[in-house]
Amino acid sequence: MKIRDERIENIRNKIGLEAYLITLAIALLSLVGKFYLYGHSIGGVALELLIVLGTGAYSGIRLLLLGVYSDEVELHDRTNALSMSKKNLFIGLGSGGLLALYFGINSALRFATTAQERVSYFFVVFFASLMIYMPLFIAVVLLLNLVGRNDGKE
Amino acid sequence: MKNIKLKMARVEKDLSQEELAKLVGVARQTIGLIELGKYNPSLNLCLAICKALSKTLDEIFWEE
Repeated sequence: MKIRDERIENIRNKIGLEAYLITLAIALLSLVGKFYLYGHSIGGVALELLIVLGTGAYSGIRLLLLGVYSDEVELHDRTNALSMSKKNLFIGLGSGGLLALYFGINSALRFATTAQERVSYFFVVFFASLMIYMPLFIAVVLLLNLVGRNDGKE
Repeated sequence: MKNIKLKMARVEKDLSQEELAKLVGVARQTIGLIELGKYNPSLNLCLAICKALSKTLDEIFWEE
């Protein structure tokens, strides 16, 4: 069996990962910068969104299909008091809450004219977004968890 | 921890690090780092080194 220099391969893989993270950071900075300078235009940040979401989705799907995610869950649950499913649930709840907060604040600042309007806009949009996005995030997180575990068991 | 056994086995066969590296199929630096104890080779690499030096795994890689 032909031997390949694994040390060199490992170093190359490590550098590849670092390069990916740098690319991701640059794309995110560009995304935030463009939103700040030119407003909320999806067309203007399509490339950045493709880089950030596309590579993330690719990595996630590959991890699931190779069964690596379920192995990671197994190792994580062995050494942590909080299980991965509960952790993901909290992350889903937190993300939904943060997004609802952002939408609430955004609506209050952009569309309200008086202080009273700001408060009412914030609460209406915040709770409406909470009702929409929190269950959505939780459902996505639980579904991913379920798919990941089933892949591992097969 | 330094792998003195590997170095001794290599010297016994009158091989330089470069020559051993060539026989095994890795870079010279990799052999050097294994001897210094600064790199942990995989089982496959260990077996390839043992084969090149006509030694067993225990004789080179077992920690006393």
